Amino acid sequence: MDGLFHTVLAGANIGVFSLAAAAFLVRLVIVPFLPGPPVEGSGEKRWAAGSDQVAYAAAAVGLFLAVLTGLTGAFATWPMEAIRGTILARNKIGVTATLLAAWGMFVILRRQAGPALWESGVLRGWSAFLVAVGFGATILAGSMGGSASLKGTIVEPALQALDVNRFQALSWPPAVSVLLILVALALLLYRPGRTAP
Amino acid sequence: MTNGFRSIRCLASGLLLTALAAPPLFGAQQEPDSVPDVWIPTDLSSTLRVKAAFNGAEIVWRFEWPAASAHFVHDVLLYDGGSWVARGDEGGGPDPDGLREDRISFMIDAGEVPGFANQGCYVTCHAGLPSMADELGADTVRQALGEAWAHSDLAKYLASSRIGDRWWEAPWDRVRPPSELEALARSGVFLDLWHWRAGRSNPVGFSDDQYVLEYRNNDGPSGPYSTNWDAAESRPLMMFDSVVVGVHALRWDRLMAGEVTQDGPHFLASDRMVPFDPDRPWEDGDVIPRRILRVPEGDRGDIRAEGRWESGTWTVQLRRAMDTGQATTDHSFLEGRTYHVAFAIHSEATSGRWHRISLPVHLGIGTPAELTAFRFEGDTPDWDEAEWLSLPIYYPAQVTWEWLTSDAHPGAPGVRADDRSCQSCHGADAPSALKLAQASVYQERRLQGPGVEGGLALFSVVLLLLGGTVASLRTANRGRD
Repeated sequence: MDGLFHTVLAGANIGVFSLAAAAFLVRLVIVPFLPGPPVEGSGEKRWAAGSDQVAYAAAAVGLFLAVLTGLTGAFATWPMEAIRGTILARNKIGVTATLLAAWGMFVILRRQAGPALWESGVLRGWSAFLVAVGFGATILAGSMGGSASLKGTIVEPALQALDVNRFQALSWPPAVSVLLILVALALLLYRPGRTAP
Repeated sequence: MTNGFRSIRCLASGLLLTALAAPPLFGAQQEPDSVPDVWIPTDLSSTLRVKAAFNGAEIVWRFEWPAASAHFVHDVLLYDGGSWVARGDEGGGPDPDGLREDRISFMIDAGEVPGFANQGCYVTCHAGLPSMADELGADTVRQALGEAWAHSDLAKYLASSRIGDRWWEAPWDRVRPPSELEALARSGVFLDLWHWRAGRSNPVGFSDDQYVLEYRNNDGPSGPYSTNWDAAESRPLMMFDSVVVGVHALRWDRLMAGEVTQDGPHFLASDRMVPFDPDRPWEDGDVIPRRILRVPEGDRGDIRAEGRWESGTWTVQLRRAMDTGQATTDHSFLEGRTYHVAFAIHSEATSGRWHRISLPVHLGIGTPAELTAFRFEGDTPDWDEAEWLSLPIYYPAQVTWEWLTSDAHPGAPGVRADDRSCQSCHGADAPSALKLAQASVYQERRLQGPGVEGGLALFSVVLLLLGGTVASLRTANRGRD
């Protein structure tokens, strides 16, 4: 096994997650234009159901591929010593963990809520956030090793134009992290009040 | 939804454990300043003054640079508790006892090394080199390069010595075969490295003589120093000849108090040493130099040196034949020709990458250039004939050739095209050098990658994603109730 496995898997991974994000976007954009609940057998209904299932399935497959990609990245590219000792790899590990968490949450959310996910504005909104974070992290992680070895992805010009520094992916001040943790804890402890009957 | 929340809690536990494990995963890097390997000097920049002259037979260089204290004792053997222990030349950053020599080194390109005219020393500075945060271990190097590689590390090297798809690519483990390296050297693709050492070469009147191609090579096998250690007996091989220098050994407390002077005994050489006498009543605190100095032989001894520290300034003069006859290790200097030179100073008892460097300078031999070597008659130049060239020198941190040519460096296109110099973007004056050093330090801090801070950042992101997911499910669930 050599680094080529990692390159091929990473490419497949980006493709599958991109499919998931695209399908999610289709479902998200279609919903507002549907006149009420989709009529059984209508084109809109098929699009809604199809894109929802594609987004869900592709995200789940992408998660599986991401784990395989990570394993080949860890054991079939650089020596472990080099991986541990370089900023690139450490940043990449961090971004990969972020994409796994985001896509993992999306899959869990969709699994728990089912197709009803689309009926709730809160769930729709949060899913969109998860997919955006997951997709962004996927592109970022996928381009990190590539750019260093001068084999960047197709989004390389966009990342450069946006001045995205892949060597500083997780380098915001600790105070910001603490603030995010407090927000997260507040969200975890949040108990919405019972709505009036 | 109850089962759903139970699943979420399980997932949450897993993610929390993962995130909590993140800091060790990220290398347990602490605040950079507190870790020896990322010691950052207080004074990020300084000034080196240079003059050069030639008389047709020899080229002579004269340097001055400020140094608050002189370090001309490199390392020693200290008698402590009944045994001899090595002290000095230890760890990253400055040696804790100040026992590491000051140095000036410079590399000369005769116009054949791609990138050197524009980026100078950076063309030799690579990821994985000794003293870098990502230094490759000896086992990794040996495993990748095999028996043919005579070293346990990488040291400096040129991209030309590696097999890459493009000229700037320098994969450390793809060294060209010896026949190709020889051909490169014959065509002048190497950097002539002059390496003056305050402790290990200057006292016997020489500079070390090296060159850079696939490694930082010595011009010859017999350099200006050897190691004063009898491994079988675990004791020094030689000691001072008290008849000549008045003592058998130095004293540690005097050495630490700065009372050992350049004019007093501080180095071992054939004219001032005798075989070590184990039967002497050695006392704790006795100190014998760990190096034996000697006149370097052959091509390694081409450069003669005079260096002296006085009142906070090192003044060093180096001279060498303009043509040593060693075309694959030394560049010959021809009147009317120009060369590229880049300088480095080690001070504050540091070594490795803890130096201050200059950007490349255009040297003209009797022809106008940024640094013009003037012609003189006789043996000694009249240095008053020429103005000093004051060069800003700065701490380059851990900016490597790989980083400079990567997309992380905004100037990478110019570096890769070899049509933009460092100066063209960053400036060449002293304030520019300081800014460059500050930017390099910023990059070095980032080079530590996400340490504890990064682990905390990752933890916060994962927790936020989890919290948002749980809260949104609860909200949706409640709305449905």
